[in-house]
Amino acid sequence: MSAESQRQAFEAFLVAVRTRFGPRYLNREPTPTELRSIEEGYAARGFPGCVGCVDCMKLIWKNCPREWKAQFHTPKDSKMAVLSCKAVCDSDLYCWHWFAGRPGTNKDRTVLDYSPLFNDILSGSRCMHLPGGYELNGVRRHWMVYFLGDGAYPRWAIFFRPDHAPTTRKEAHAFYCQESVRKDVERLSGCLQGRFHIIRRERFEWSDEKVLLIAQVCIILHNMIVAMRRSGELDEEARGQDGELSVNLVEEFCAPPPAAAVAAGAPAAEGQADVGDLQALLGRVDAVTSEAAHMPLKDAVTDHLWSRPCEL
Amino acid sequence: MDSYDTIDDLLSDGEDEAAAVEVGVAAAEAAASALPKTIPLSRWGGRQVGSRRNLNRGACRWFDDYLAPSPTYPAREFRARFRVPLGLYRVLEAELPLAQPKLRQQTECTGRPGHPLYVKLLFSLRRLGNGSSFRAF
Repeated sequence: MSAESQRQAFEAFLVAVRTRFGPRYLNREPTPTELRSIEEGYAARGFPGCVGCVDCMKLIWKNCPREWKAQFHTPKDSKMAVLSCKAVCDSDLYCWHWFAGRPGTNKDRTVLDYSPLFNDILSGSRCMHLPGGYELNGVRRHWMVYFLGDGAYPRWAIFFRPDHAPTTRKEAHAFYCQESVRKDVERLSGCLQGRFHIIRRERFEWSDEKVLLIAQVCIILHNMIVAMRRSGELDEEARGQDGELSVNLVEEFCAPPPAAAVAAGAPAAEGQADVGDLQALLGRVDAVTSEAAHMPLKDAVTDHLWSRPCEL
Repeated sequence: MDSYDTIDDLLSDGEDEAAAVEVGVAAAEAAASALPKTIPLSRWGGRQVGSRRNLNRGACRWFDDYLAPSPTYPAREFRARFRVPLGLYRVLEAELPLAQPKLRQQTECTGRPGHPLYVKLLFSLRRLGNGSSFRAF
């Protein structure tokens, strides 16, 4: 193929993958059943109520226009333009939220401010309560679910993050356990870069849309492979059934995406109140972002991990 | 002494015919090396400008090696080379032409058939996996 034919075919492939499989495998809101199964996976590892690990990744953009370079630089990589991406994954490395490309989003904290997932949580348009709550430290809690993040994330009610200087052995143990589970998102980054070298290297595209399109297609293909592994199709392939197009696989990939959590009849929680009510909005933002709401979660998870037999 | 004179001398002297053939082959090689090269070598390496590559044969080899009913290499080799399982490739092959008709095999303005679907898909997957440039294929 000539270079021009290759370029046209590659762009058509990227657009086709995003058009056909993007609604199902990229940034789809998990249903209550899926959210519960994710939470059960983390509960078995010592973190009841956790629904994912969150972290930022970097895409190096070599051919960023010079006029835009100031918007995409980081203090660490000042010479290269960098597109910051935020990923949320579960223990199977299924990336169920991915956001990138905002100008000026140079650090984890600023990406968090622009992230549509966390903006929806703050505005109340996304339900982050599990039906029936979850059991933490022997008590049934009806708190919001939370994420595991590193020290760059703020002390909010939806994050369990380590402190830089734990004061007790109990805290040190909790943060040690948190690091051992939070590495899932680091594994996701390594798995993506190992499988698709195109996002490991610096990108030479002239437009950030093309760079982000390539990264989105890599995320979609990765999620499809994880879905194959969950359904056992990879095991069948390993047993020698080569080249056969499984009917179950086609139904799995080509079915329309399941309805979102709100449409599926999730019980009404305080997160689904009227968004237009300013007082309620401020109250929700304060309930999520205040450090006073973070401390009970931190104490409960720390006690739960300390009372749990250590498996590390 | 000219090489053709050598052959005549050898034949006239009644020497072994095989020795005459060896000398003739050597003379032909020497004559071929003396001809000017039609394809200039690239100065900095890489693909030679003007070299003809049999694209159809390369596409057929991809099909025979990985996608045929009885392929040369098993599915794990496909996954190692293109970074996605073969089952996922089958899904992409079935679904993507519906979303993007450009991926289907088309006819060029001269009437020749264009690149088939599987070549476009395998090339795209290979590029995602290797991160190589367009000139590498």
